[in-house]
Amino acid sequence: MKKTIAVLLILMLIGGLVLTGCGKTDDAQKQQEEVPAEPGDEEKEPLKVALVLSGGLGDRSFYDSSHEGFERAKKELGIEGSVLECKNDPSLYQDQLIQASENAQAVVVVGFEFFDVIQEVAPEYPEVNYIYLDNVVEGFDNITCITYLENEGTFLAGALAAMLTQETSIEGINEEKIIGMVGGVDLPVIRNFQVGYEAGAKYIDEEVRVETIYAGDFEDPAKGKECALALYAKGADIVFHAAGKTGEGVFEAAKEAKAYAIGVDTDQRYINPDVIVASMIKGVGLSVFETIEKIIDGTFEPGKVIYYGINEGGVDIGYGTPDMKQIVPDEIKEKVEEIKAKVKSGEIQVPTAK
Amino acid sequence: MKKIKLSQDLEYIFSLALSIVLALIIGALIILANGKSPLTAYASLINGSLGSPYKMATTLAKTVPLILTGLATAVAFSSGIFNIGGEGQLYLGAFAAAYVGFTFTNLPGLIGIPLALIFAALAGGFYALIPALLKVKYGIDEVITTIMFNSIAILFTGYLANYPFASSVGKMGATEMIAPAYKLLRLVARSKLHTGIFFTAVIALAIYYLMEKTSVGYDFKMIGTNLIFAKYGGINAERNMVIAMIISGVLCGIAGAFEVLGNHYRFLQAISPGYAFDGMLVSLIVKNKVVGVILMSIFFGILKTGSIAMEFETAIPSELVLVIQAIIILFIAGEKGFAQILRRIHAKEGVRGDV
Repeated sequence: MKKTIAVLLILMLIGGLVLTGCGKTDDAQKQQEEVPAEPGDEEKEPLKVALVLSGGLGDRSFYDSSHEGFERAKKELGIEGSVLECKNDPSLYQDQLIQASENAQAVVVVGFEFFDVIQEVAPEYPEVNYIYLDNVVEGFDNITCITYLENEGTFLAGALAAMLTQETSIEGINEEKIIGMVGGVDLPVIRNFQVGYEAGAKYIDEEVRVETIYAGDFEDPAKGKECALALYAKGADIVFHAAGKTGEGVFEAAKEAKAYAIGVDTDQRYINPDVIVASMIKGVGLSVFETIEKIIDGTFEPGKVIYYGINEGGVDIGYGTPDMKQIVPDEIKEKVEEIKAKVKSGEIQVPTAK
Repeated sequence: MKKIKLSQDLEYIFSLALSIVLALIIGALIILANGKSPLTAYASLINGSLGSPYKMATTLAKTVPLILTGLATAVAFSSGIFNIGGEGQLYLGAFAAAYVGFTFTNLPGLIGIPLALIFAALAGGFYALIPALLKVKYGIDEVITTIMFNSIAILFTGYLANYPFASSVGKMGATEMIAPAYKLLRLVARSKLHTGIFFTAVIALAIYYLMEKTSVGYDFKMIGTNLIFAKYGGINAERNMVIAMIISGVLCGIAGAFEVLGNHYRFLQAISPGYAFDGMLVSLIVKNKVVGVILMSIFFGILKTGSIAMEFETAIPSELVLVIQAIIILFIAGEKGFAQILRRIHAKEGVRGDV
C-alpha cells in the first residue's frame, strides 16, 4: 500500500513539474514572439481593449449589445481585444478588472455593479483608460462614464403599449386597458426603466394601468416566463421586459398566451416577430464603438460623464427589419415619433427614478 | 499482516486523490476534444492561482468563505441535522455586519469589528435556530424549511438594501459603505485577502477542537452516526441537534460578515455567488472532516482563481472547472467502489506476501 501511495505521489510530483515547466517555456516563447515583433512593426500598434462584463454573454440583450459594439470596433478600427465575463459573481469583479487592466490600454467596464471596484482599481493603473457603462463615478481622471437615459426610451415604449392596448381590432388585444412589465431585479437602473414606462403610458391615457413584476434574476428565462404569464392572466396584453436573459421567457409566455411583448436593449424583434411588436433600444453597442473610435482618433476626453438619451441616439424604439410583418399600425408609429420629438425639444420632461 | 490493515482515513485519502487525478484527466480529455492543449491549460490554471503573491492571495481570499461555510456544513451534517440554509444565514449575517458598520460609525475598530461579528453571528445563529426548533419540536423536515428560508432571507435583505437602507450613491442594490474603522486590513496589494483569514484560522482550530477533542463533538458525531444508539446511550439528541444547527448558522453568519467587512465594504444585493452551496460540496467531498474541509477549500480556491486566468490565456471556458468539480463529486459518490477494488488488490498482495 505504501508503495502505491509513494508511486502515486511521485507521479503527481512529476506531473506538477511537467505542468509548471510547460508554463515557463510557454512564457518564454511568448516573449520571444513579442520581442522581434515590436521593432519590426512600423505601423501604429493596434489599441488593446478589454471588455469586462458583470454578467455573461448570450443574453441577446444588454451584454451582447456592448459586445456587438466591441466586435464592430475590432473589425472597423482594428483594435485588439478580449472579453472577460464575471457571470454575476461579485467575488470576480476585482480579479477580472485587474486582469483586464494588466493587459489592455483601454478597459470597457459594463455593469453598474463595478461601482466600488472600479474606484479601487483605476487609481492603480493611471495609464489605462476606463470606460464605465451604466453608472456614474466622478472625480477620476481615467474613468469616463457612459450612462443612458433609459427612462426616455421606456417613455416611448410605454406610450406605444398604451396606444396598442386600445387597438382592439388587432387579434390578441383585449378590452382591458392593462399593460405589463417584467423587471429583472428590483434595482435603481431597472426602476428607471419602470418609471419611464409608466409615465409614457399615463401620458397617452390616465386610465391605462401598468402592472410590474420583478423576476429577481437577470439570467433565468423560466422565472421571466412565469412572471409574464401572471401578467397576461391579469389582463395585460402587452408586456415589456427589462430583464436581460430572463426576458427570453417573456417572449415564450407571449407566444403561449397569444399576446404581445416589447423587447429591450437591442432590436429583439428577430427573436420572434409574431409576438414582439417593437423594442426599446439602448444604444450600448453604439456608445462603446463611438468611444473607442474617439480614443483612436485622439478626440477622446477622459474623466467625463456622457449621457446617452434620445438626443444622442442612445435610446430609441425599433420595429425590426422592413421584411418583418408590422403589428404596430402606422398611426401609432407616427404618434411615437411625435412624442420623441417632444422629448427631444424638452417639451416633455420624463421623470427619473431615485 | 499488520501492514495490510489500512486505516479507513488513509483509504479514503487514496480514493479521493484517485478521484481528483481521474477528474483532471477527464478534464484534459475535454480540453483535447476542443482542440486545445491540456498542458498549457493546466499550467495557466496553476500559474494563475499560485504564480505570484497577488495570485496566491486572491486564491486564499476565495477560500475564506468556503472554509467557513464548509465547516458550518461539517458541524451540522455530522450531527445528523441537514442545514441547507447556509446561504440565507450568510445573507442575514452579512447584512447585520453591514448594519453595525454603517450605523455605529463612531466606534473604534477594536470594538466595532467584534461587535459587527457578534451581530452577524447572532443573526446567522438565530436564523438557523428556527428550523432546528421546528424539527425537534414538530418533526418538520429541516431540509425543506432551510431551503425555503434561503429565499426569504435573500429577498428580505435585498429589500432592505434597496429601500430602507439603500446607498445614496452609485445606483446599485447596496447599502451605504461601512465606516473606515470597520474595514479589515488588506494583506497583499490589489488583492482582496484580508485579516479575516486569521480569524478563520482561529475558528477552524476551535471547531477542530470541538469536534475531535471534546465530549460535545463526540455526542454530535454519535447522533449523526446512529441516532437510536445515541439516545439509548443517554445523549440528549434534540438539544445537541439544535446546538449543532446554531453553530452552523453562526459560522455562516460570520462568513457573510467577512464578505462585508473584508471584501465589499458594504452589503450588496447579490453578495454571495452561492458560497454556502460550494461549502456544502467541499464538506461532503471530505466527509465532513475539519482538516479535509480546509484543504479542499484551498483546492477549490485554486480551481476558481486559476480558471479565470486559464480562460483569459487559453480561451478555455472557466466552466470547465465546474465540470472537474462535478466529476470529483461523482467519483467520490462511487468511493465505496474504489475502496473495494483497493481491498481486493490488497487481499491478493497479502496472500502472496504470506506465502
